[in-house]
Amino acid sequence: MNTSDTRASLRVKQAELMRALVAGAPSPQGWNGARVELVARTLRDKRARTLADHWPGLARSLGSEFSSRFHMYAEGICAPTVGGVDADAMRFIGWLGRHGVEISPAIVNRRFRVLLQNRLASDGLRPRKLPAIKACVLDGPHGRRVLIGVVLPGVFCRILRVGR
Amino acid sequence: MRRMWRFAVTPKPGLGLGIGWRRELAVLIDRIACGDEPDAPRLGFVEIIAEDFDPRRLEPAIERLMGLGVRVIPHGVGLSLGSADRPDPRRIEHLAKLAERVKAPLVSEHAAFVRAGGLESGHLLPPPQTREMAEILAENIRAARSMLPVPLAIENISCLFDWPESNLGESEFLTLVLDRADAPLLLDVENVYANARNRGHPAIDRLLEMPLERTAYVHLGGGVEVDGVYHDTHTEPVPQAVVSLLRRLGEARPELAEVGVMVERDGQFPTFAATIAELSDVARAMARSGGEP
Repeated sequence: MNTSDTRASLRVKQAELMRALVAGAPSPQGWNGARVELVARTLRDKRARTLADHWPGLARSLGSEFSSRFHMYAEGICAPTVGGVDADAMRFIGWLGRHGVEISPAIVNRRFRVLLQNRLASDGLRPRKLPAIKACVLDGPHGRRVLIGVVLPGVFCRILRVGR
Repeated sequence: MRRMWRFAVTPKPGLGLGIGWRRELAVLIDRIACGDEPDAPRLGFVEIIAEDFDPRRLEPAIERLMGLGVRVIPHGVGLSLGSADRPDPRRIEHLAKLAERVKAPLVSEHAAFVRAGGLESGHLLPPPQTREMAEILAENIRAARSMLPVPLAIENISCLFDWPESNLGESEFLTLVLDRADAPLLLDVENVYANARNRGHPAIDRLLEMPLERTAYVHLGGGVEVDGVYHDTHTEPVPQAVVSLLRRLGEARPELAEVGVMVERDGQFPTFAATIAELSDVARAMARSGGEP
């Protein structure tokens, strides 16, 4: 049996369904919209669980709002395809910042370390290949500190703290 | 009572009792394999998530288990055999290298797709259950198998939806796929249970009509019900209903007595004692179904 035609039509249908499930597109024609939304929500729940497992401090700092915030963030944005859960975490933290949610110093610190070793790309997070210098301000309970990071990929990575 | 480890003198000896290797379980698994947990049943194999391991830098913990005589089965979650596109040769090659590295007797993947249109679902999704799809899936399985050094067992998944064009039952579809691909079955009893429960079908009927003669080994897991829908999350203990299905499976098909059975847990990990109790429970169900009076 020649399956190339079937493959072509299946490719279109699977892509259409996938967009509805992970990228906020409307439910494809002929589908039960409520069921598609239930599955989309299930996929976001799983994403949220994975994030909470790997970034427990972030989930804890949002408390009971973690789940609802994550769903708001993830509804129209699919998970980054490279960089795994850290890439999703970087985007989620960025989203929280843009929505006026205060990020704890511990999370800012951890994000700084991830972004020193990796760069944000359109499809997620990729390991740095070029040297970089980054700085960020940490407002902790004991006052303001500045972190300065220097990285030479594969050779050297240092973080200096300035201030108390 | 603990006479469940009878290895068949056949080309494919039984795998025994297994568990999905996860970092959170590594210490416990190591203790069981070493015999440091007197209450634990003997561990025959572990399954590792293929995408999480690098064949060039195998975890010392896995190497150690191999040295202790525990067999290791790489289990893929990213081949997307149910996609419209043929599986990525680089992914198959990774699985092949890993299989060689851990001296696996076989590897496994799912009758599912996880990517389409450049997007990833992060979760196993069912392809449409039609004859045309069965043909594509079988082609993809054969393509993967041709690059692998060992058999590729295919797992039935839990489905939260059906495609509007699906016109075959789950077991009918899977039988067709595995016949066409000539592939063994990784039978997930909890996935059969989940689908039957969500569709309001009797689980034992759905289980017994699966292509059981192809079974290579068995998965058991646990999920949660939310708003009337059972979700296969692997964050809960194996439900008693699923353990009982395993027992009934062995009674109905005694030839499956030598088949390996393993427990999967992916989150909300319980205490060592609770995990050991669960493994013992499964081992007892295996032994009972193995023809004891």
